[in-house]
Amino acid sequence: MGLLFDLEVFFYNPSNFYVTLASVMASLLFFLIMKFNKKASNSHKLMLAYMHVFALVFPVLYFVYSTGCRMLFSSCHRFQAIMYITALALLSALIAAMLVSPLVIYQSFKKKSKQLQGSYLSDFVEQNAVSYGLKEVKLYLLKTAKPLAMSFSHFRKSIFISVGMIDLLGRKEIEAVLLHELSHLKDNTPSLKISSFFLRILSPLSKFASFGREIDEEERNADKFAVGVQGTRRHIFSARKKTDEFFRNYNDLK
Amino acid sequence: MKKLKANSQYESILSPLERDVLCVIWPNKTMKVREIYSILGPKRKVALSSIAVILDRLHEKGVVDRKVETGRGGIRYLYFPKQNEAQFEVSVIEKAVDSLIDKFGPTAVSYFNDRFSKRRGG
Repeated sequence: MGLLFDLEVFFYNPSNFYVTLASVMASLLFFLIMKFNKKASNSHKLMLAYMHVFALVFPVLYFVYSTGCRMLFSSCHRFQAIMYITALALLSALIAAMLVSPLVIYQSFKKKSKQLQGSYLSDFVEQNAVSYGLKEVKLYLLKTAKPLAMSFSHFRKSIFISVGMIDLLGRKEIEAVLLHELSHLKDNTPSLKISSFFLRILSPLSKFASFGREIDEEERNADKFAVGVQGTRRHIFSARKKTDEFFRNYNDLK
Repeated sequence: MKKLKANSQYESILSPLERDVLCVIWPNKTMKVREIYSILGPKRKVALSSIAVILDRLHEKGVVDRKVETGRGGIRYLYFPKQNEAQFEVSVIEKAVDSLIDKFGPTAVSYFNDRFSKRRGG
């Protein structure tokens, strides 16, 4: 009841209404450019995605300011307050996208993992990382029976591979998976997957543009890299087949 | 396969493949996924991934436990049963009886009383 009343009061003021409308329109515009501009690079699309989220978040912050948090900006004029809120929304979007979200995901994986050192697999990663110009790549063993592998380029470059993946695959197939992940680190592509994940949470429009095509393309490129290094597509293809089979069975075998 | 077929009493709580995996793991105590697959794979014509899924499910159900083995031969999960076959049977009976008592309360208790006194009587 209180919220509805606050909303009514908020929109009764024409300037509040126009600021909100402009922000939502801008958000929609960023989204449409992101979806339909086929020439935009992945980094441009990412930037547009964050601007879309920022423009969506802005009216919420503006509403919060207008209803209950006036004290924060009590000495400012309305225009100054809008400037402050813009900066605040930009800063929070930036911190969420670049720092908090990757850190949360990274830490949740790290909690379930232990670092692999002095093993055949860590030596393999180390040697290949050096030859592809990557300074230091840490390899973590993820304690789950599900066949999973992923890489993080935020903070420290790291690869996570699960015990389930190692249980399921042969040596050459595991090497193919690690080369695939090294390719992501070399091309700095894991950020696209993380951003796609957070876009799904933050934007109601994410169903219509989730970077699916771009991610598929990056996966294909990473596969190509592994094929190029190993000189055969056999290992990466059979690794993919086995992991797909696992998850299919996981849903079917009940 | 004689042993595998004899374990149909778990039908209501375990899938056929779960039963087969348990029958392999009980006498052997600690096994790798590939070792179980080498026994069951040819007989049941199942993929390695199916055995891995079943072991993960049994682990989720608390029937088996696992530990990571990091050795010269590589890294793998070692699976072992949490209970032997007899203990497992007792826990299945306990769960079934508990669930009947939860559902039917005093009626179930008095039924069990009658049933067991009849048995004792003759």
